Amino acid sequence: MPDPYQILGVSPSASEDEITQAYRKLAKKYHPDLHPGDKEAEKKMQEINAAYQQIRTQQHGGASYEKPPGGNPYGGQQSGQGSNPYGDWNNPFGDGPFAGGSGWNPFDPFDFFGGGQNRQQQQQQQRQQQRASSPRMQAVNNFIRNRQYEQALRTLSEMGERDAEWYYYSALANAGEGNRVTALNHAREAVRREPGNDEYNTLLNQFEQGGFEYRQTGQTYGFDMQHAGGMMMRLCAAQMLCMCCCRPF
Amino acid sequence: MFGYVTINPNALGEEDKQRYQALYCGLCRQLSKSHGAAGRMTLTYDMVFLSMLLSSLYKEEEIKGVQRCPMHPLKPKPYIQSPATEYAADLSVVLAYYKCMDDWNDDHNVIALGQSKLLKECVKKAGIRYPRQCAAVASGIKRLGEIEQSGEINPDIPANCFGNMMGELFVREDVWEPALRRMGAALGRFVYLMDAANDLRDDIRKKRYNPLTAQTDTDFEPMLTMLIGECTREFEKLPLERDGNIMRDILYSGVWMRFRKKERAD
Repeated sequence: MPDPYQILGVSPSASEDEITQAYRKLAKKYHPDLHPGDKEAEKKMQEINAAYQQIRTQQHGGASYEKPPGGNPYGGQQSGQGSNPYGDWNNPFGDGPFAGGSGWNPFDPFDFFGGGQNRQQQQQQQRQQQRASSPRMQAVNNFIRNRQYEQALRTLSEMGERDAEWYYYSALANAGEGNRVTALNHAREAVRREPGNDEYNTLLNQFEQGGFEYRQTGQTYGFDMQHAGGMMMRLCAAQMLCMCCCRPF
Repeated sequence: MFGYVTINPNALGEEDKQRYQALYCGLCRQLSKSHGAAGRMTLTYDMVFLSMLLSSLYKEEEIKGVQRCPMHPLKPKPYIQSPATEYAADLSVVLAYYKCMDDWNDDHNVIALGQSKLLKECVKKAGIRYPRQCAAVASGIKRLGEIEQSGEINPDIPANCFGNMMGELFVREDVWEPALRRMGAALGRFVYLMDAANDLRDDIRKKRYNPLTAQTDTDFEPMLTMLIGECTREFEKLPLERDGNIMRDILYSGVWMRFRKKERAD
């Protein structure tokens, strides 16, 4: 991959702000809206997007972004497609300059821990090696591997017995479908039924990772989720006291 | 939305607080200018956030002023406006209109019908300017109504419906679209389910629909944190020009205020 700094015309020591300014300037120049039908400008824009994203992910995520953004970076034309309401995040890689961000989507069953591709690939291989306990569960496993989540869910719903493994695969398939709450619940249930299973714990951690990051980032900026309540509690307590004073009993 | 996307004033500096107030006044003024008194009634914190986000991302030029208004007839108030304010004003009336129509269809709420009549002309104007967004709200709220009517017990179904609609309102057709769409959709899902969590007790008592009725675990905080985490992950990637402080105050703290309040009350 060519040097992303060169593409943006900044030095590798440039500040985040300078890089963003450079990106903005180039994006304005080559934005396809200004050059309708110009393939050259479109290509240039894609390069700029990829370069900018690569630098940002290096700065923020620590992981290098090796996958070129496929699909159309100006997703506007895609927005009208209604065939899959959750389409946006079945494919966390393909659809734009910031798709996947640090290369990670917690709800992509194959996309673990926000690490680099290697870790992901390892995980994916592991998952592929993993054996399901029954031919039917193996079919579910295959559907999930091929990102056919709907079929996976249908097969799962036809199964009578719901054990830890069932909940695990259901969590994976629901995550793929964009059903975050169900995915989280079912991952929890799998762990509850089989607390010692690494695979199940890993999946649950993966879903909860976003929340950890959220709290951490919030704390870095000096916010405390609980604090919003702390103040409130004091207010409420004060109000309740007032209520006591004013009431005749 | 539901007015959840607001600041936690306790965690915000004086200057930022004043700026937020001015942005709020800016949207209120714009609503009145674009859509009259009926438009002004649709002012929400949520749309102030959207206007702030877009204005910051696109580095829009701001108009600042100080003026009296019917809401504050005695003391002139500073206000800030930008093109994103106009956009947010149009969306405010569109969201309010379809919400009212839905309330009328569901409960035959006469006040809602009256308000929707007042907003009808405003929505026509907004619809000409933003047909894509208008269509998304119209179909989104209609679909959400159907899901709620059907008594859907899977919370993901209505949350995704609402989230997809919000995602549509956050985007323009350009390079930021995917990130903004994901951010808006995540915020939508969060707000929808937080509202459901807040109303759960009342809804059960009054036998109203609530998407979380069938949940066995009623500690919703981990789930909600997971959902808002997806929103902030996208947010943190955007190269914002200004108001990062205020927006972080909102996303990392303010959005929880009503949830906490309710939690203590229960």
